[in-house]
Amino acid sequence: MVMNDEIINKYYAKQINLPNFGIDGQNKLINSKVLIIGAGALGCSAILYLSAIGIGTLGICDGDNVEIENLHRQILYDIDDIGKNKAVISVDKIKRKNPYIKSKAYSRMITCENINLIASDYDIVLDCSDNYDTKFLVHDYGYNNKKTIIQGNIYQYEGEVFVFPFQNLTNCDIPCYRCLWDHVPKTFDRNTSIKGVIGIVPGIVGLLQSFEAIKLILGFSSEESSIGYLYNSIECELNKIRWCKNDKCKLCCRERNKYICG
Amino acid sequence: MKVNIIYYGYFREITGKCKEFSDFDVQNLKELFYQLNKKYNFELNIDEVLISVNGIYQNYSDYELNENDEVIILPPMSGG
Ligand SMILES: [Zn+2]
Repeated sequence: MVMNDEIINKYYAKQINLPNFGIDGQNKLINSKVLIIGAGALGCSAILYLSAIGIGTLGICDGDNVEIENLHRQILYDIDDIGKNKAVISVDKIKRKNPYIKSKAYSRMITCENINLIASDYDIVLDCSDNYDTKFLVHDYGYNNKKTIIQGNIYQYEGEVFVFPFQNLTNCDIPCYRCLWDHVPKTFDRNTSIKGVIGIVPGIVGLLQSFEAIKLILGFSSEESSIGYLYNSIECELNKIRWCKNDKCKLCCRERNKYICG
Repeated sequence: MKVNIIYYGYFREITGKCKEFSDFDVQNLKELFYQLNKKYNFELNIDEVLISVNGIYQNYSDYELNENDEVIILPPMSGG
């Protein structure tokens, strides 16, 4: 579809009008590349809003197909999408939502073998996955390759967003996720879907992840180090958590980097 | 001393509460966690838990607590 600048500027007119946003802000978004790993409940909410705001290139990585039990929370998909690959369907929806951006589907699960091939081209990675193995893989890849990772996690009525601005790694010491959790204690190694989930919680957490990405791209964020946001939907409260490098960390304590992958 | 505790995930489930502002006869994190473990039976060691005080993660169990500190007790979460 060929569109002229006038139409594109109309599409984004209301956000361009915002103080501190303007054409400059829109151009920053258009020139940015964001990869979303996992097109489940967190991913769907992020995909909808990041495509609408005009991130210039969006990559969607997911090897799963849509199932009927996904539809109550994976808000991008319809009944007609059941059985189809989530990344492919997402890109299809993005093209209809905002034809002025580029999007690419990676219809496979992210692995140690393919992560560099998929992620190396992107500036920011939103980790919207639903399991610890992927979360650690994406995080460690980000650390080792100086790529900013914005991780979303949920548990029942609660959620977390961790921002790891690893793109700043050359400037300062940035603590990592393994400084907090080197591995997951057995007690917590459970699957959320068994415990249940309501769509609004990952919807909100996916939006928090998205806005953290937008703030970094636009230069709105004053945070230069890692930070965690903890969200309790029942109390409607947000807590923040900061931390220092853990000298026992097996990833970011340089002599001990045990987690090179990708 | 009075401490404001915020529970997430597993700890909210076990305690049945999001928050607790209570008086504890404790000096440091280790003692606080010991008392909570006794009260709620978390069946966890302190090194299996993430604890922040006033917004900063503390991995030293002898970290000295002060009156009205805000303590968050957090498990890892994996859902998406
Ligand atoms: Zn670390």
